[in-house]
Amino acid sequence: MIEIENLTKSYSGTEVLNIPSLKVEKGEVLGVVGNNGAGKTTLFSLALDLIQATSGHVLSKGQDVSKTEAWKMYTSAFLDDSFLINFLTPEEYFDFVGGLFDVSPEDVRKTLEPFAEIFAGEVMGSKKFIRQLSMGNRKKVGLAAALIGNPELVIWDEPFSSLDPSTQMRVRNVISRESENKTFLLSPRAARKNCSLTLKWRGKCTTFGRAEKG
Amino acid sequence: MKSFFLKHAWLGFRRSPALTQNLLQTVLLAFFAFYFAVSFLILGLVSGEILESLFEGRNTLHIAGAFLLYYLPIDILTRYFLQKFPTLSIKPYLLLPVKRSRMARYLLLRSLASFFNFLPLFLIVPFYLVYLTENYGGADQISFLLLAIGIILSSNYISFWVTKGSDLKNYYAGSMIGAILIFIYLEYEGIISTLPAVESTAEFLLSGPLTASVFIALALGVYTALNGYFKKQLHINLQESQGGGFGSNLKLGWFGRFGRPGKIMDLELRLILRAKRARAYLLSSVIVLFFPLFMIDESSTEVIYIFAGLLITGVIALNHGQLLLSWNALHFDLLMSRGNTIRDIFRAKYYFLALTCVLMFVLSLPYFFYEPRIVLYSAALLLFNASFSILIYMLLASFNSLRIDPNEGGAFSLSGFGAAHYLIGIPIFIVPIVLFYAGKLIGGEMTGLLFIAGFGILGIVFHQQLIDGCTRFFEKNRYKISAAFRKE
Repeated sequence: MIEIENLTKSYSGTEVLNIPSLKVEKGEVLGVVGNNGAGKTTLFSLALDLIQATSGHVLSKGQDVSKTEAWKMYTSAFLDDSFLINFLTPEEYFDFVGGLFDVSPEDVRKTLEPFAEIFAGEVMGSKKFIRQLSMGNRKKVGLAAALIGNPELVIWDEPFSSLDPSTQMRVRNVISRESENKTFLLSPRAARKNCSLTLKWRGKCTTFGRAEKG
Repeated sequence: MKSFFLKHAWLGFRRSPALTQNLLQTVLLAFFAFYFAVSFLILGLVSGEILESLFEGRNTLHIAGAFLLYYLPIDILTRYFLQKFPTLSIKPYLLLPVKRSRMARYLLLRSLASFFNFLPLFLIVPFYLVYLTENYGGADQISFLLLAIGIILSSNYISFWVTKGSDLKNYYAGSMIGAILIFIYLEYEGIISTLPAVESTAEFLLSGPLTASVFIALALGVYTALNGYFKKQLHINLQESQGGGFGSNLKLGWFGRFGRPGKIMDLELRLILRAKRARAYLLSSVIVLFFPLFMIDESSTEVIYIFAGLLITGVIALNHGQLLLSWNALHFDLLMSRGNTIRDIFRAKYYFLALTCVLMFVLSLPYFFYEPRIVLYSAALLLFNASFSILIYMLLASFNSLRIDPNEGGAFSLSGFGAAHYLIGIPIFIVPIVLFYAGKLIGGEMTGLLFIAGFGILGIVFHQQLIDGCTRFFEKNRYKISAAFRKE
C-alpha cells in the first residue's frame, strides 16, 4: 500500500525525520509510536503530500504522492482541525466529504451508523457549526468523516487524545472492524491487532522495529 | 501598578506574523494611515474658509457643528466594518487572578487607542487653531471642542456596543446603510434637505458648554453600560453564541449536482453567507451597486463608465477573489488531500466568481431606466470580468499566502490585507481602457466596447485551458502556500 524510500525532512538544516525504508502492507494497522517531536505528524504530512520531502519519496500503490493526485480518491486523513470546515454543521460536512466521492447523503448516514454510539447524540442534528463543538466532538467528527467514501488507506493522527475512555474503546472497535478492508496509519497506540513502528527522537530512525501481531 | 495588559498588547502587535512576515503590507498600511492623516490635516487647515465661502452669510460654527452631527452615523457605520475591538485579547487572562473590573476597564480604554479616534483630530484641531481661535469667542471655542470630543467618544463606544455588546445582525446594519445611502442620495440630488434642521440642532448644542457636553454624557452613559455588561459577561463564549448560527437552517446545495467542483462551490456559498468576514465583504460589495448614482452624470467620460462597469459586475469577484484560497486556509489540508484535485478547486472558484459577476450584472439591470449606457458598458465588462479578472486572481492565488479566519469580523483587519490588493487593480483597470481606446481609434465607441467584450469572450472560450495553466502554476507553489496557511 505504502512504500517509503530514504525519506528525510529537514527544517533549516535540522533533520526531523529520516526513514531509510518502510513498507505498509494492505490491511495492516500500523501504529507509529514516538516521543513528542519524533516526527509522527511529519511522516503523516509527507504521506499526504502536505509538505515537501527534503529527499526520498512516499509511494502509494506504487505512485509518488507528490507527483500524482490519484491517491486522493482512496486516501483519507484526520490530522488536526485543519481537516474540518468550521462553518459547516457536522451533517453538512459529512455530506460535503461524501459528495467528493459521489456518495449520496443516505449512504453517508449508513457509513456513520457505527458512530451513533460514539457521537452520543451530541453531533448529529444539533444545528451547531463545527466551530461551536467541543474539542472531543470535533475529533469525533473528523474521525468519522475520514471513513466516508470507503477509503483504502486511513491516516489518523492521535485518534485517542481528547476522547473519553469509553469512546476510546469504541474507536478501537471501529478500527478493528474497518481494518478488514482498510489500511490504517495511526499514532500513538492502536488496537490490539497492531504493529508498531518506533520513531526515535528527532526522527533519526537508526533502529526501528515492529512489535509482533496480536 | 504597571499594566501588563498594555505591554502584552504591544508585544502581540509587534510579534504578530502579519507584521513580520509581510513587511510590504505593513508599510502600505502605514502609508495609508499617513496619507489620510495628511489629507485631513490639510483639509483642517483650510476648512474654515471653505465652509465660509460655501455657506455664505451663515454661522460657520453652526455649520461645522452640523457636519460633526452628520459625521457620527457615518463614522459608526465605518467603524462597524473596519474597526476591530479587542474583546478576545482578554481570553488568556480570564483564569488568572485579575479583577474583572480591571479587565473591563482595560478593554474599554484600550478601544480608544484606535486610528479611528485620532483621525478626526487631524481635521478638528487645525480647524480649531487656525479658524475658531481667530473668529470666535472663548465660550464658543470650548463648546465646539466639547461637542467634537463627545462625538468621537460616543462614536467609539456606540460602535463597541454595536459590535460586541449587542446582537445586532449584519442585515440590520445592511438596512441601516441602505437608509443612510438613500438619505445621502436624496440630499445630494436636492430632493430633501436635512441641513436646516441639523444646523439648528447644532446651534442649540453649541449655545453653551453645558448643552455641548450632551455627547460626552452619552459616551459616559454607554461606557458605564458596557462596563457593567463586560463585568457580568466576560466569558469565553462572548465570541460566539451557542446553538445554531446565522444561516444554519438554510439548505444551500444548489451547485451540488455539478460534480466535484459543484460541491466546492456549495462550500464557497456557505462560507460567504456564514463567515462573518466574508459576509462583511459581500455587504460592502452590494453597496457598490449604488456607485453610478453618484459618479455618473451627463459630463461623465467613457473612462468613468468603464470604471463603473468594472466595479458593478466585478466587485464581489474583486473582494472575494483576491483572497481566493485564503478563505479556505483553515481547512486547506482537507482540500489538498481528499477526494478532489487541485484543478477541481480552481474550476469551482472560477465558476463561482463568474456567477457572482453575472448576478451583479442582473442586479444592475434597473439602471437601464436611469442611463442605458451603464448597462451597455456593464455588459461588455461583465465578459471581461468573468474571464480576465478572475484569471488574474487565480494566478495571484499562488502568491497570496495570507491565512485568514473568515469567522473573524472586521473587513479590513490587518490579517489578509496583502499588498497584492493594490497591485491587482492595475492590470484589471488598465487593460480594458487600453482595449477600449484601441477600438475607439479604429471605429468609435461601439468598436471599443466590442474589443473589451471580444477579449472577454476569448478568455471564456479558452477558460478550461487557462484554468489548467493556473492549476499547474499553483502546483509548483503548493507547499509554500499550505505551509503559510497552517501558521497561526
